[in-house]
Amino acid sequence: MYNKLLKIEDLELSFKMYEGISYVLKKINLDLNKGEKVALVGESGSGKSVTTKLILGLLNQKNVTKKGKILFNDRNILNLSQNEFKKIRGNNITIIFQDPIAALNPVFKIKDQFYEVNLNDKKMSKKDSFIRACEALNKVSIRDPERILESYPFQLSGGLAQRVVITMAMINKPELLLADEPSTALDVKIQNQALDLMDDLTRETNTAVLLITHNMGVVRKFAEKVYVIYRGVIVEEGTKKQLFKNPGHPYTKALLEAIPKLSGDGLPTHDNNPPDYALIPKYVH
Amino acid sequence: MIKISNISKKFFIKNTIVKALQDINLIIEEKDCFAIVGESGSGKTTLANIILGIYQQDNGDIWFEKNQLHRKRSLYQRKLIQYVQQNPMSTLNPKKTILNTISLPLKIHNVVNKNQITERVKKLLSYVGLEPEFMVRYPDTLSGGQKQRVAIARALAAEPRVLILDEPTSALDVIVQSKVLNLLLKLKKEFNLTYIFITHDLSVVRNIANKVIVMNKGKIEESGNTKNVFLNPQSQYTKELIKAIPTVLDEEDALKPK
Amino acid sequence: MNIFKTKYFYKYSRNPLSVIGLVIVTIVISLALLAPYITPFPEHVGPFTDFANKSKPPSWKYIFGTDKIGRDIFTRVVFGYRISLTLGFVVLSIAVPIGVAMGLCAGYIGRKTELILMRITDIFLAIPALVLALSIIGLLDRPNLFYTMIAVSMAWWPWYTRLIYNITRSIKTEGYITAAEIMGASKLHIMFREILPNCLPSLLTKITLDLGFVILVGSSLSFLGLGAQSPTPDLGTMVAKGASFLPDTWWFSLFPGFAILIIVLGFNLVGDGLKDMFDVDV
Repeated sequence: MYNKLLKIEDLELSFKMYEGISYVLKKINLDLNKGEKVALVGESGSGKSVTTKLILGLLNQKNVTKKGKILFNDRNILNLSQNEFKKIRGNNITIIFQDPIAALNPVFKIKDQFYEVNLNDKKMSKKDSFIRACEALNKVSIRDPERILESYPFQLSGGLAQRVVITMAMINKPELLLADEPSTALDVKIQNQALDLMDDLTRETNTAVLLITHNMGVVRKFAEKVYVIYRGVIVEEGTKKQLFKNPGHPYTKALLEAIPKLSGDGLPTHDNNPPDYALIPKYVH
Repeated sequence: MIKISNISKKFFIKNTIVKALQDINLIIEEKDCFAIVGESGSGKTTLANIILGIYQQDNGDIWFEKNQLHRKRSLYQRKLIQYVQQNPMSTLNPKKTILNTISLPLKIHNVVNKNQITERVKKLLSYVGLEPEFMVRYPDTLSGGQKQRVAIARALAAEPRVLILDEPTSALDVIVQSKVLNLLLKLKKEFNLTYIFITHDLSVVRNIANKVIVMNKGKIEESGNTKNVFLNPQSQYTKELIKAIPTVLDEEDALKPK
Repeated sequence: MNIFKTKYFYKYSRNPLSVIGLVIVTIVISLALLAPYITPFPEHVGPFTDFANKSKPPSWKYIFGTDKIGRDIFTRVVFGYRISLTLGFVVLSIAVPIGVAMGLCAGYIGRKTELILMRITDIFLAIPALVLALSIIGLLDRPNLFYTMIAVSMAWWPWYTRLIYNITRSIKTEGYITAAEIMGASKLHIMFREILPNCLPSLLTKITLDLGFVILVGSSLSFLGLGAQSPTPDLGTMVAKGASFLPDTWWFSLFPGFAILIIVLGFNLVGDGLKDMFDVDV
């Protein structure tokens, strides 16, 4: 309890819609230690993305019902006020998204967006912000940071934008970095570079990372501990080694088997009538 | 079957000239599953668009059997080569039912009589594993995998000989992807189709394509039989690409080039 | 299919104001349709005088009172709604098809068509609706309801061109349009069977909002004496004629004026409700 940076306890989430109530998260439990790299793996509709929204306090509409606890440094942040969240977001907890160029405001230059992020920390002049941003970009091997800072998001390539976004997310040395599908749908090389960069930066500041993804390859490259989520239920939990060497839950096995292999033995076959994975009990290594 | 000679294409974006394709030559034979791989910006989508007649090439020719293909095509030429797009979310008109969407190629190419359309659509849906009740539904009630199946059914409706598939499964979850890929292979065999498969996902290519070309910045880096290219990549670029594949088994790691 | 049970109605009814607007519009349209059967004095709408009962204040017999020549104002207001609604529907029946067709062509056919059509549209858009309508009426020999309708239609179509043009441009790069093009669909098919259905939510919302505005503009023109002529009951004309008799016989202008307010408000509320329900911007 003492060491745990983030502890999610029996978290439940449901939405009231025209068709009825949609239960998105059904009592999930998850924890992260300081500096730990954890992956939350699942397919679309599993509820993995809404988990990050709840951690950031972004789901407050009338038709949302939340139960359980999200303990950040032993403090339950599930129902904090927006004012309280503003202090945490951007400082202690930051997030990076799938499409870096979409995450940046298209009408502001990069330097202005850095300014906004820097201001979160303390009062800072634009000049100081520029210098701080330059230093941060230099550290991640971006040559001519001045030119980048004077550019608009659409002028950057996808890979460069991703590095900028990661740098922005880390500049205030957050305790927890949320990465929501940070690998773009294309270009494995850029994906790998982004993951390497995240690894370097977070190691330095001992920032914990919660990586949300559907890509097992990314999990294997980056994570230390893995949670597998299926339709709002955590079905397996273990270290990377345990999960990949000895997957326990049928769903995890199905996920791993479905990936086409480099050995080229043909496409994986699949079960036409799979069991309801949510009913099979959770496998803990 | 399809011969591409000396195709080049330039784009003018803002004040720069982008050489999307430079002197591309390739031959696709009947019943091939021909993969075109590359990163974004490699030109693979531009090449597909030229084959489909969306863009006009600056130089070079495209031949389909004995006939040359230009950008302006006859209805018959359009029928022969059909297309499955990258993004299943936007490939179906949200205001049209599935029946309506799949009927469109049937009507344009006069594949069947008016009163046989519903029957044919039912049949096409069955080929892709969807029940007839899907006909009256709208796209927003379908999952990504289901939408892509509808897109495949629509492509097959015109009874083409070639299907161009542009990242057909990249936006799908891995288990759904596996099912759709299996479906595509089954259909290829059943209808004697030729596939041109464009993707960045090398693991998929390794398992479904018999030939592959690797594109880099508008040029062909390497080409040949899939097995040969993967087991014995010649160009450094190809080696880098293979090394970057996110593999999940130790045995796979061992297969990567050093 | 019970319309009240659909998902759309559920979403629409989340906002109480939208429901109020719908009630108002339903009542007004029902009144207008049933006018001859539900009004106490339908003959007062034609050439009728009853000087014995002139300028009577509101009473149980004459709910809104009588006007200067003894006609029941309540009856005339309900019939006045007929005129206003007719104006609204006719104007939009002319303006919408023209505007939509032009917008689709300008957005999809090609650069040259786009340039020509949109420049014409821009010219019309630059002139405020009321001013444009006045100018057109000024060109015609004498004012009447028919000319008013033509004039207002001419002022209205460009807004539909602009709306449809914008939507067309934004969706013409969507996957399903490209798919149809590759398949060999004709430009006509793509414009009317692929693009147009996607314009419907915005279109319906705008038409509803516009019904209110057209009625307002029409009433303003009648107020200036350019609308339906006597003895046809026109709400704007009634307000104008009664204005010189304020404040003594306040009921001459108040009830017709209030009637205009109610119908315009009703359409506005419904339009806003549709806007939220469809989640569009018009």
